[in-house]
Amino acid sequence: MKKIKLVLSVGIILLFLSFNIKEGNPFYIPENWPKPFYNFEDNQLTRDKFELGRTLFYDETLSRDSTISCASCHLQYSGFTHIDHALSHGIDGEIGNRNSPVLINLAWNSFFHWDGGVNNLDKQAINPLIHPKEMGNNLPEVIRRLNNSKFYKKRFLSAFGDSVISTSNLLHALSNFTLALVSANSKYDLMKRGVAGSEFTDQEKSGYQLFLKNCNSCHTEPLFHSNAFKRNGLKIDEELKDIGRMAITQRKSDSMLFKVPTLRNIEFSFPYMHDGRFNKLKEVVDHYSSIPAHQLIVSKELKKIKKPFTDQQKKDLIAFLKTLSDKQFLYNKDFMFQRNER
Amino acid sequence: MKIILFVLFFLSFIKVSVAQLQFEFTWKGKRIELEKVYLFANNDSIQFSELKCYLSNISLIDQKNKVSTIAPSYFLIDLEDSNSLVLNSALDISKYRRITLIFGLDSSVNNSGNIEGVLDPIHGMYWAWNSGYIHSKISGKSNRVPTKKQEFEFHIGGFRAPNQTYFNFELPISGNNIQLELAPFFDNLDLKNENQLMIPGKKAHDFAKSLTALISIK
Repeated sequence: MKKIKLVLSVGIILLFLSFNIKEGNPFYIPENWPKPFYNFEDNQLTRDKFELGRTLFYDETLSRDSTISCASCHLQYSGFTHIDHALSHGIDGEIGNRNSPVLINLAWNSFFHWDGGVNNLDKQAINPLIHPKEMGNNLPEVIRRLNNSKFYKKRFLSAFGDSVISTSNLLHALSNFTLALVSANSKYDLMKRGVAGSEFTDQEKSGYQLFLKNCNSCHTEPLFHSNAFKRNGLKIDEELKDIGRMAITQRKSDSMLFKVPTLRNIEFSFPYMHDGRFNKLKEVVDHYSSIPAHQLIVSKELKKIKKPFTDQQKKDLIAFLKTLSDKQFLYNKDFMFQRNER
Repeated sequence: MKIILFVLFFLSFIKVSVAQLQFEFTWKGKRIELEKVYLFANNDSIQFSELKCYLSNISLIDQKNKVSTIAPSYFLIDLEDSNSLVLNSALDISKYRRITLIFGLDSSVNNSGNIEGVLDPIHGMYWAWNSGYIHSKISGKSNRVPTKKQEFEFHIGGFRAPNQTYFNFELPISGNNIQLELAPFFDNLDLKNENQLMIPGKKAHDFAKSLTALISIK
C-alpha cells in the first residue's frame, strides 16, 4: 500500500513538473520587479503562441529573399543583439544606421528603438520585416506567404484558433516569444536574493557602490534601464547624422536624445552605444569618466558624475557590470532555434 | 388587435430602407473619380491616383440630444473601394439632428495594440518607424508640380501634440453625403514648392486642420 502511494505521488509530481515545463509561456515577473508596461489583455500569453513566435523569429522566409531572420541581428548568446557589428547588416548586405538593440525584459519597455519611435511591442516587429535594409519585405507579402504554408496554417490554428493568418496574430505570436525573454538570474540577482555562493567580491562591491552613485539614476535597478531619453555627450557621427529622438518628435529640444538601454548582459552585447562606436566596456566607462563638466549638451545626470574615475574605479565598475551577465538566459534552450520542428 | 399586428408587420418592412451615410471626395461640388482630369480656375489641371482617409468615433445626436454611436468605430475610406464609401449603420440617420466624428484616429487608437480590420497595417496606412497611422493619403498629378512626372503625394499623419492630425468635429445632418471638398485645399497650396509630405509635423497638422474644415454634409 505504501509503495502504491509512493509511486502515485511520484507520478503526480512528475506529471505536475512536465505540465509546468510545457504548459505556460515562460514569461514571468521576477520578485520585487515593477509592473510591466505591456498590456497583456491585448495578447494572452500561451505556450503554443510562444513556440509559434519562436519558429517565426528564426524563420528566414519572412524576409524578401528568404535570407534574413529576426535572429540574424538578434543572437541569443549576445543578449539577442548583433554581436561584433557596430551597425547591423540586413538584406543584400545593406548596412543600417544603428546598432541593433538587445531583446531583454521587453515587457518593461514603454518605447522601442533608440529614438523611441515605436510605442508598442506588438507593432515593433513590422519595422524589421519591411525595412529595405533589414528584411526588405512588405506586409501583404509576408501574410500571403504564411497563408500559403500548410505548416504555419496548422500552427496558427492551434495557437489562435484561426487558420487564416492575420497581421495581428503574426505580431502577437512574435510578442509571445520576445516577451518571454526575461533575464533575472545574473550573479547580481542571485546576490540580491541571498543565494549562497553569489556574494559579491570586494571589487564587485566597490563597483556596485560606484554604480549606485553615478549610473543608477538612468540605468535604474532592477531593470538597469529607464524608459527615458538622454543626451550622453557623444559627438554626432558626421556620416550617419543621427539626431535621435528629434527625428520622431520634430522638437529641437529632443536633438541627440537616445533611449537609455538596459545594462543586463552588457558583457556580451558589444559593440556599444546607438551607433556601436565602442567595442569595449572600458571605452564606454572612459567616455562617461571624461565628459567635461562645462559641456552643455549632456543630460543633467551626467554632470553629477564624480569625475574622472581612477583606473581602479573603472576596473571595479566593469567588474560589477559583469555581474549582470545571466548565463541561464543566454544559453536557455527554450529560446533557441528548434531543429526538429518541421 | 389584428390591425395593430398588421401595422407592426408593415413597419418591420419599412425599417429595411434605412438612410445611410455615404462619403465622397468632391472637386468644386462634383464627386471625384480617380484618374479623371479636373481644372483649377486658371485651367491648370489636376488628377488623383489615390484618395484615402480614416474616420472614427461617429456618433449621431437626436432631437432630445440623445447620442447614439455608429459601430464599428473605425472607417477607412478608400476611393478605389466603393464599399468603403458607405458607412454601414443600423441607425437611420434621418432621425438624427447632428453628427460628431473624428477625421483621423485619436491618440488612444494610435497607441493601442489593436490592429484588427481597417486598423491592420497591411492596408498601407501605417508608419512603422514612427508608430502611428497615416490618417489620410492624397496623391495624384498636376501641371503645377514642376517635376518630370508632375506628381504630388501627401501622407498626412501624426498623433503627438501639438502636431496631431486628427480632429473632432460636429455638423448638422442636412443630407446623406459627407463631402470632403478638395478644391479650396489645393487653391491654398503652392504645389510648385509643396508636393511631398511623408512625416508628422506642423505641416501635417496644418494640412489635416484645413481638410477637416472642408468637410460638410450635403
